[in-house]
Amino acid sequence: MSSNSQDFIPATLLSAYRDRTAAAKAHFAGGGKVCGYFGNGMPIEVAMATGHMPMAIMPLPDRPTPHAEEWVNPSFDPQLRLILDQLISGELDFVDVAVAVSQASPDSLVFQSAREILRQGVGAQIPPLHHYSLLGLQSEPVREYGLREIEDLAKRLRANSGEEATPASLKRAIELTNAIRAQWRALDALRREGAVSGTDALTLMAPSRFMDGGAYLKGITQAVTALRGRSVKAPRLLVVSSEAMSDSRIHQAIEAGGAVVAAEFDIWGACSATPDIVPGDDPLSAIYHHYYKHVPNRSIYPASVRLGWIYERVVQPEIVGVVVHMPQSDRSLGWDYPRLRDYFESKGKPHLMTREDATSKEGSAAITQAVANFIKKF
Amino acid sequence: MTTLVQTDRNRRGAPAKSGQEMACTPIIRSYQKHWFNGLRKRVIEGGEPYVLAPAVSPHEIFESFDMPYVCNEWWSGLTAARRQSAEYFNILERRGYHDTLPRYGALSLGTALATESEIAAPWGGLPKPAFVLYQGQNGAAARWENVAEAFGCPAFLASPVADPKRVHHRWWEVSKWMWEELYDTARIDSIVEGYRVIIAECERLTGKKFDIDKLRVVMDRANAQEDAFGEVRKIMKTAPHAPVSLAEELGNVMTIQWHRGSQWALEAAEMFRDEVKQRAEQNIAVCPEERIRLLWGWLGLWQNIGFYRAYEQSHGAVFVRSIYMSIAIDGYTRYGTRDPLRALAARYAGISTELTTPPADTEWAVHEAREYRCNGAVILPGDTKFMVRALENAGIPTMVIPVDPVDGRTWDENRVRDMMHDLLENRIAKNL
Repeated sequence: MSSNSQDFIPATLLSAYRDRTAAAKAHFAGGGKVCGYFGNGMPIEVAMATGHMPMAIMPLPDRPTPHAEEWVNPSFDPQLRLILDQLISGELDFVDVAVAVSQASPDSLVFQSAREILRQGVGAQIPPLHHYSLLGLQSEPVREYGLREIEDLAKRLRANSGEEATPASLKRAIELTNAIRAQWRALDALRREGAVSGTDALTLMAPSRFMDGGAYLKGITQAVTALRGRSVKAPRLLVVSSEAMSDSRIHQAIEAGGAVVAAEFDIWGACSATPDIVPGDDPLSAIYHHYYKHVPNRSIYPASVRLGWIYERVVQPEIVGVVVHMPQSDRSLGWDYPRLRDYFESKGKPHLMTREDATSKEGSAAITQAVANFIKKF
Repeated sequence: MTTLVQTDRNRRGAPAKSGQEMACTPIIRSYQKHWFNGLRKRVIEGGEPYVLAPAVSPHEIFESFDMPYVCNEWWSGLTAARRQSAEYFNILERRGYHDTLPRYGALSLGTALATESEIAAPWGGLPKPAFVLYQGQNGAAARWENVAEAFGCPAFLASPVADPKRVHHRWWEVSKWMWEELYDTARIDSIVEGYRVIIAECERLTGKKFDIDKLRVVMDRANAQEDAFGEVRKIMKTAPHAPVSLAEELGNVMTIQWHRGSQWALEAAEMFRDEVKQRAEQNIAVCPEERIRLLWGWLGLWQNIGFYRAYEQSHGAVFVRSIYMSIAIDGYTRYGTRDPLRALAARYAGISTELTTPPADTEWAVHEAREYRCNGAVILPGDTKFMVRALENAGIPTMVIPVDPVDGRTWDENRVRDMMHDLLENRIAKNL
């Protein structure tokens, strides 16, 4: 696979990708409010409408985690460990409120750990916490409960900033995020055409979580325009991983093996190329329903909904195969693996399953080698 | 990422079995086997519907419909206790389910997928359920869906359960009556609404109309059953020596719990209580040389119940407390059954956080360890250090036992024995 390096990625985006707290720190220093969040499905429009800059709390994986290790065991999920470490480190003194988004009870582990550290009187450095449940169960009572949760979130953020999430302010926020979504859809189309590598696509998308929305829109628009007409020649793969793809390590390892990642089943990547939010008369409800519907959630039944995005995407002609990545931390995707395996086989799409850790040098090299062998068949 | 628990696919589990001393134990065990055989007959020959359900789900609704159900975790415990878990987990791995997936609760899937030529299922195996009820909220929706697919039956979700943000550090003091205040009203509302979906399905399957008065009777009987366990706990805490072994207590309490709210369960709980009382009055001790009292932390060690008695003769060490009877008393009792469906929702609005989330679980464990006069604790591995630290800070030496509660492939007798000797001799006995 040949990548035209990253000359089309604006410096502002690259900088935000690497230094994930810089923009929010600057915003805070300028007198602005910052709403940190972790977990999948944060309705950032609510944060924006209440006068906050939303910022994902998601450090890069090479961060040491000495603060977290004081409290958790080696079996604690590595990505949650990174978040917990940053949360309790004292580095987030510019975060006015940290929202823990939980789609299922295991997602609440960081919130619960941080709260217990607070209770024990040694967590004064932890930003004020708010727990937000985005349950994925497909039922009307759960949707009702979810609406109540997003209303509570809006009130909590209003209390913090003094700014109400009015229909007008929500619509303004939706307008901005819809414009970003339009760029993501365009980027997704370019990936399907083979114009950009997965590594670069993720590097373009991730900064949206760490930048001011307007600045990000400018950068992503510029990048998408620059990408048109480019071509990356390599077999195009779909990636399904049990880990959040908040950085491009997995993609780098795969693409070093000679493939290109055309899509990934993750909200940090291709799953964010969703349709627009249609605000209607009740924009708060529209925002809730958008995230409820579009954010991947392992608690959803049945599989046709839980895995529907994968089912639709894998049969696209540009996808020649799939990499299923389930490192040792996986406690959930593995229950779907035989189902996915059988589906891929039924559609004539070969797959490679790997349990290597892409954040380690050895693991990354093993993935690269396995992919190199895998794509020989194409 | 490293794990404390090591799996050896050639291991089959611990060889030890636990003896029975109580007269009620064979009666309760025999009832369960007879009941399960009857269930198989009713389902296979009579076409009667039954439900496969997780432990933390509203069994009481099925009881009110006289609709049989099998508790998934009981099935896991039974399979592990019969030393078959190792083979089932090897079978699951051969089917593509990798070895770091949570194993507790997964043995029904193993049973559903395994062929007769691979292994003879415990007690003839689980018949095909009318539906499986599952908890989607803990991220295991796919596992439940696999079970339903393997059986060729539908799955229904049991609505959300505990609210992860609501914990109370002394919840057991207020949960029995003040549950509306303890848990989020909106969460309880949502759970109740979810139960209506389950009720509608039960009505469809049984042809019966839901009877809320009958549910109230079931709830009241369940409360009375937990009250009987409460009397047992009081005896266990105060008797000079433990009158019953934890191994027997666990088996009996859990069998009764899986029939919670039935007339048989109430009578069995009273029979168990009466015998414990009698044994205490007669100064019967499971270990007359008892000098170390141990708390067992978290899920039951179903793959090796004999472990609970393994250090009585050598060290005078007696396990006296586990979560099971205590959660029945503190977590299940819900007085105020004027609206029994709401009381039922409140039963499940807290249990999973209370068992797993600090400070609810840690404070409860420390409180119970003190009440039971424990001078040591053995707990299963966890992701955080909160529990170990809470117990140690309370002056209770604590050992993390590196095993899975149901996977016999993780039992390393020599390693466990060395660790236990160190705990009992170097950390506890020296300070007595």
